[in-house]
Amino acid sequence: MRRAAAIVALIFMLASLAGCWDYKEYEDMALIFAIGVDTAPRQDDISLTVEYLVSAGGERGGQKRAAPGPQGVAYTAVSPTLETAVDKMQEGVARQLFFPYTRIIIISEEAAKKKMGEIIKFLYHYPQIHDYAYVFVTPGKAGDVLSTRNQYDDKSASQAIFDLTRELTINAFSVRLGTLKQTLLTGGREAALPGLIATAVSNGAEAGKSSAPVRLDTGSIQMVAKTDGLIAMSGMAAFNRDKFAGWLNEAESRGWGWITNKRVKGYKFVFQVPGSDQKLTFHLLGSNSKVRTHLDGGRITVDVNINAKAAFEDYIPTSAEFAGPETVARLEKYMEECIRGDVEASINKAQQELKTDLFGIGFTFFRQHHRQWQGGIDKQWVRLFPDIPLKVTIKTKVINTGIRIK
Amino acid sequence: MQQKQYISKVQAVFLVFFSLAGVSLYAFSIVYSADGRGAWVTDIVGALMLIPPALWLLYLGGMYPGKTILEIIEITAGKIVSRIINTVFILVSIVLAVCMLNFFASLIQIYFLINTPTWVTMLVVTALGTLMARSGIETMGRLFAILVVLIILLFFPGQGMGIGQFKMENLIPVFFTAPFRLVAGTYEHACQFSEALLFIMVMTSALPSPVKYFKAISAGFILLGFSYGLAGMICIALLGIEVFSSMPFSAINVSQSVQVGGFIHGLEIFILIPYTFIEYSKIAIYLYGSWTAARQICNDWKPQLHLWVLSAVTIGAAVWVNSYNTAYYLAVMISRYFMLPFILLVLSIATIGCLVKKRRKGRLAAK
Repeated sequence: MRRAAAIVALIFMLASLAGCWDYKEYEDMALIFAIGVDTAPRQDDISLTVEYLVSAGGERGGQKRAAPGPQGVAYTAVSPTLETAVDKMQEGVARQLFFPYTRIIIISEEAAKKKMGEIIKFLYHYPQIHDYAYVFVTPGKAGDVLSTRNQYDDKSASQAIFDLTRELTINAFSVRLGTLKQTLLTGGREAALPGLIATAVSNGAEAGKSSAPVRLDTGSIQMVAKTDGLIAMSGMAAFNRDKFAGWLNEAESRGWGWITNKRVKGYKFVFQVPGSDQKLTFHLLGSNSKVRTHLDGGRITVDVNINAKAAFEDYIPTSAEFAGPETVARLEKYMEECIRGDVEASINKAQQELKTDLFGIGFTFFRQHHRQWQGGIDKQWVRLFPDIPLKVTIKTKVINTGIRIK
Repeated sequence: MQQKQYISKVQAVFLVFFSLAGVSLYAFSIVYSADGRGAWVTDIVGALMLIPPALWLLYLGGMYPGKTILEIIEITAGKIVSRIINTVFILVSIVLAVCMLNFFASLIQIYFLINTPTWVTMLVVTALGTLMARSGIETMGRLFAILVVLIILLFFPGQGMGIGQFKMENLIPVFFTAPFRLVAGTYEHACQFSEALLFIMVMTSALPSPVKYFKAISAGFILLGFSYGLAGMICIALLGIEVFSSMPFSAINVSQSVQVGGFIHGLEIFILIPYTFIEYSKIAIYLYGSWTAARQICNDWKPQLHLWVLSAVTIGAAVWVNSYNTAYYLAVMISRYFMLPFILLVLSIATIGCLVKKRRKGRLAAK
């Protein structure tokens, strides 16, 4: 037993010996929190921007080091591939670029249109970037988003974006890299990624429309200066395999969230009562959806069932009446119509305009009718999807009327 | 001459557990890719399929207590057959060890120690594996009993913490691949697990009464089979079969993608430690097996020298190959086309030899 215990101790000691080659002080590492991918002026090149947080100040070797910069440092490198761009960037950054902390990946719309396959290949193969990172698409330049800072907040762009993903939202839904990989590798479903918009404070224009100022440029490496502005999540970018297909606006994104069973919660949404100027506000408390596919005589039909719960937090105009069952039923009907509007907008956009199965209906069909799917429908799915009727059933429940009942 | 060592039933369970977890730990993806979502079930069935040949080996060992199957072949089939089989046994063990060293060294280089040369990792693992093999099967049994507990304590929490990220849509339907592919996949799993039978061939000499170890050996197969199945199921639920089957080190990827709340994430260290324990144990098992066969060939002449030579050959070959892709190809080829047929051949020779010997004894007794 003593010998066995000695060998266990030896395992631990020997295991640590091999690490000498990779010894690195924490302060000498550039802990990258976000990466951004853009196209480059030369068609064959690709641009990579990273933002890292300076890990520590203090003293080293008797010399004082700079204090940590809360707003991060951003560099851009241009190279034929993303892998070589990392190497290129390392030539200009005096710290070891360290990617495992990467939480945010931003892809510009243009890069998503032209280089998405290459980007996915990089994200798929680069072992330092972990699957829990969030992926976004921006209509402007990814580098500009990472160079944006909020002048009143001590946060880097990447930290601000990361915090946005944690706040509940209904107009865009965060997607992790792992989920994106799964979606792209599985048949019968297409990817949708949240949109990010950066606006500059100075003129209110979208940051993507004008390049951020460059502080230091050594040809293929640039150190990017921070500009004051605001970053917001909005809408979803739709894909068809690894090709950017188009944008979903906020209502369509909400519809996508309802159908794909995203966590639609904590949102106060407004319904304009038809024929009046009355606006009703509901506070959503939870929702879920189920999709069932049917195959009747070679014809595919789909049932989408959505359940939503909400509190009605508004002024009831007919204040003479108490909010009894009839009033609540009427409110539930209004809420149902509101959700239906989002869902139908989303379905129309995906089927008629983008022609891409963002809801994973094909994948659901595969799970529910795998023999038929493998019997040939999988190969025809892209052609079949736009014409498949989706029957949407929505059940809403208003569970209370807040602090008022009249 | 080393003192004869015997192992208990509990130690036998853990020795079988570690002898099963070999190249299948890295080369599974080719089977998972073909089997689809049902691969974790074929994993379990593949391990259980090997219980009958394992019990057959024990039965043969019971006919000559204190002898390895290789020694039984020498007694029953003669020295020439025995030496050929022993030589092939040593070669197979070295090739498997070379594959395992390359797999592990690549895993370390890809995910953890990018600048550390692979030969350093290989050297450290081989040195410790040699030390473990040298200390004998009883010490290995005791050590493995400790390591299994640590592995279970680390591996399943490392993956299981991602339970909130499980997607049942990745698991159901379980079976959608063609039945013949599932059967082929089960066979391929069995081929990869069959390296355990190689070790049982030499382990029989350390069993005081091999037939009394039927339950313990079966328990080893069941424990490993279900552990593999459960780990496979967790990985598929988290990553999806398409991603999971495209990676050789996907357990690391699974633990990397696990996130609990906003603070706990990147749990790959929980998986690296079990991988490390298994690696050391496997190298010890391969070296112990080949050492036993080599000692038999040389009639126990300078046994320590054999072990060090075998270690040197293993590390030399591993450094010479120095490619995870070559090791992958080699592991798949040797397990798919050679290992199980070779084991079945050895079993057949030993069985026929024992029957002939028994019949001869019967005739002599009758005369």
